[in-house]
This record gives sequence, C-alpha cells and structure tokens, in this order.
Amino acid sequence: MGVPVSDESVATCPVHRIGNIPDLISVVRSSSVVNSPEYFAAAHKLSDGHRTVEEFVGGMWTFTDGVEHRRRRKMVNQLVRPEALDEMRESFILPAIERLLLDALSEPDEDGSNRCDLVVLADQLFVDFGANMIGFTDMDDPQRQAQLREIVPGIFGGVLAQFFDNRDEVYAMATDAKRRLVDDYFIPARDAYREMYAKVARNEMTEAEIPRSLMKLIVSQADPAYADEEVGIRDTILVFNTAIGTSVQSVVHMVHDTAEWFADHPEDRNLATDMDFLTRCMQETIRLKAPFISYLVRRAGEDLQVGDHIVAKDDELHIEIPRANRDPEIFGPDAAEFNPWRERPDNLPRYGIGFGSGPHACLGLRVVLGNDGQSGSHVRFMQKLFSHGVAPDRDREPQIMPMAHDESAIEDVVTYTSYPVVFENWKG
Amino acid sequence: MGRCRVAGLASVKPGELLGVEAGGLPICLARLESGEVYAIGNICSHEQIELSDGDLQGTEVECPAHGSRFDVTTGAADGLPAEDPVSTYPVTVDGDDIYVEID
Repeated sequence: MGVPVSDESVATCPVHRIGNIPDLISVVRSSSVVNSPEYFAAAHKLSDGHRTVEEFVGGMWTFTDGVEHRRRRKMVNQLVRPEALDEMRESFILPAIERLLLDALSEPDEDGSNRCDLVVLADQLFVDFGANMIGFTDMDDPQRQAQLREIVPGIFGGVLAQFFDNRDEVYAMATDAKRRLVDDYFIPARDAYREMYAKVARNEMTEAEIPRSLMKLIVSQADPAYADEEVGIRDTILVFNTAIGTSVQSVVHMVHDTAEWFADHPEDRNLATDMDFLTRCMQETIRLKAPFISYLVRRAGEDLQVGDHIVAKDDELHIEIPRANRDPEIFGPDAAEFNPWRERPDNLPRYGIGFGSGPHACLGLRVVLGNDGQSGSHVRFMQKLFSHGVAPDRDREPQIMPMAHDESAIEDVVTYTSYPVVFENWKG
Repeated sequence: MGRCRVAGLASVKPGELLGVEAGGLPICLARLESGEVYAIGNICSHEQIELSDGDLQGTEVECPAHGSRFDVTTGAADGLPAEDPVSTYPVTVDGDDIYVEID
C-alpha cells in the first residue's frame, strides 16, 4: 500500500511510498505510471532540479516510455547478448582484474600485509569496463584511464544531485565533468566510429568489423533518436554512470556481506571461490541493497489505485525496492538478513526485484549474473578477489558518502567512497 | 482443440518470427534459416511481453524487452532474466500452410 509522506515542500505534490512487492510490480508495470526525468531529478520541488534534467538525464532511454522506450531498449539489448558478455568477460574483465590486482598489491605494507581500497580497485575496473562498453577510444593509455576516473564523481553528482544538500558544489563539479566527458572522450570516439563507417562505405572494412559498443549504435543512428547527438551523450552518461557507480557498489557491498557471512559461518569458507555460492551471495546483496539508493521515482500519469490506496494524477511515487525486497512474508522471517542459502521464493528470482521490474528493469542484469545466471562478470571479479583471500581491513574504517535526509533510507543501504581491504592469501 | 491452420508459409520468412493465435492462445511462430518452423507460447515467462516482437538468432528467440532467450525447439529459457520455460506446440507444414497442434 502506498503511504503518503508529510513534507511541507511537496504540499502540492503528495508522495506515495511503495514498499511492498505486489504493489510495486503493479505500479512499475502500469502504463498509467510515467518514468519522468523531472520527478527523478526533483525538478518539481527543487529550484535547481531542472539542471539535472536539461544537462544530464533528459532524453535518456530510461526516461522514455511506451513505444519509444521499447524500441530503444530492444536496440541496446544487443550490447548484453551472450556472445557480447562472453567477449567482455574473457577478453576484457578477467585480464583487467589480473593487471589491476598486480598494480594495487605490488608492494606489501610495512607489516607485510597486502592492502588496497576496494572502491578504488573496483572503480578502476569498471571505469575501464564502462569505457569499453561505450566505445571510448585510446583507453590503453593510463593517463586517459586516470583522467576518465577523475570525472566519475562529477557525472554521478550531476545525475543524482537531488540526493545531496550541497548542490551548488555538486553541479559545479558535474558541469566540468560533463564537458570533459564530451570533449575528451565522446567526440574522439564519435569521430573514430565515423571514420570506421566511412571505411565501410569505401569497402575497406565491413560493418561487422566495427567493435560492438554503444557508440556504434549512436554513430550508425541505430535508433532515430540518435539523430540528436545530445541524446547519444545522455545515453553515454547513463551507461557510464550505471556501469561504474552501481557496479562498484554491488561488488563492495557483496564483499562486505560475504565476509560477514564467513565470520559467522566459517564452515562455508571453503566455498569462497565456488561460482554457485558466490552467485547466491551476489543475488542476496542485490536483493537487500540494489539499486543502492533507497528509492526510485515515478509520476502518476493519471489517477490510479495502488492496493487500497488512491494515487492522483501527477502525484509522486517512491519505489522503495530495498524495503520491498525485505518482506518477511515473501523471503522468510530473516528477510532483512544476508543468507546465501535462502530458498528461492515462489514466482520471484532469488534477487527479488533487485534489478527492477516492468519495462525499465535493469539492462545490466546479465552482465552481473551472466546470461546463464552462473558466469557473471561481477561474480567472476568476486571469485578472483576471494581466491586471494580478500577481507575487510579491520585496521581501517570504510567511508560512506553523506547524503541528504531521506525518509526511505535503510541503514545498510549506503554508498561507500572507501572500503579498505586486505588480501590474506596474496601470492602475487 | 486439435490441428489449427495459423498462417501461410510465405507470411513468415526464414530467420523471422510471427505472432499468431490458435484457440485463443498467443503463439510465436519461428522459422529457422534452415526453413524449419517451430511454435512456442508468445508471452515471455519473465514479463507480459510478446516474443514475436523480438529477434530470432539461430534457434533462440530474444525477448524485445529485457533480452530473455528461449530455445524455440524446446521452449527452455536459455538466458536471464527469464528462468521458466514457455510452452511448445507441434507444427506441421502442409503445402503453403502452417498448422499448430493445440491440446
């Protein structure tokens, strides 16, 4: 049932919190509910929210609905087909993990321990991964990799400014980050892909030889929306932000949750590199914490009934996925706890609605878990970390991003900005 | 219901899909590049989406919404997010006509 929230600033726009799975699924599947960029950015409540819409998220495929969304989503699905996932994992992710671990752990600390910051390590991996998926060029250059990593917080802030109190500062950083993303990465990649298509036109190469990427779709105008280059830039921001931000948080939270589980259940330590067990762990972390913010936002496009509650046209809906995914009636009395041995509930996957539901369900599901549910890139990353004995560094405190007050907040759904770890079995 | 004529062979080209109905059931016809025709339930087991709007790659249908994959020869879900299979229906091609067997 939706629960209206009392909030003076939204007196003209009631908010309904949707925190149970049946109502949530009916809402996100309803054609009467709009995935509005204005509501996502709180542009109807915050005087500067329009900046997020106008500069970052307006036009993204996630903020389209109906026929246009279906057309664009079908187009981008080809980026995560089985052959694309295999290529990404075997040719890119796994070699990159080896290289990054060697770089990060080349020298032990004074006490002989091999330490690093897991947020930094995951950030390095997923920035490179996101750049590859988008099609950014010359990314073998360590300087370009480092410069791209520098702009991640700015892009994250531009998209999610509504969750921060210091928005002037966030927008200043975001505007600079977007300029650098476009000038230094998007435009060179666009020009490189245009040149490849010119070669195709001259019969010097075939279209199949052009690397599969978002940029290939943009430059070839695989969707008519890409006739407007700014739409391509917005979709680039979307892939950049989700491939990096959400991925980093998913692996850091999973290491945290799994390490806690091993501490309480030492009998399972021998499963630390077992893909089936690690997949279960990832599914539990996703169930409890994804999408790593407490709610998503929708707008009621017309009057509708949610459970026994009436939602009026233009009311705001907060889709509380982590809260809904902790329903004891569906997931059992220990629903709020991490348990990789949890039984799959009836009519739902183990991760519940952690990847969302309805037309806008997450494109990255198969990247994280694999097309077959057993070979996901993120889980393979975890397997590699646990093979080297990754564990939280008890001598150093994790750091958490400060966020604005949030009625829907859940204590353990946080954004880590630093998560020190130690590798207990590092053999170089 | 028995054997129902659902389409002309020419209406579904090799490598393509076609949504039809037989006895009120939504059915997705898939004609492989080899020419063989298969019939599976047309609604994705993950969400209420018509598979015939998706793509046929080899013997697999890719759902247009979230990319779930189904083997048209067995109905098995071969790719997440779908985990459950879809129904399969025996097909016969008689001259220029496609027939589907419905229980």
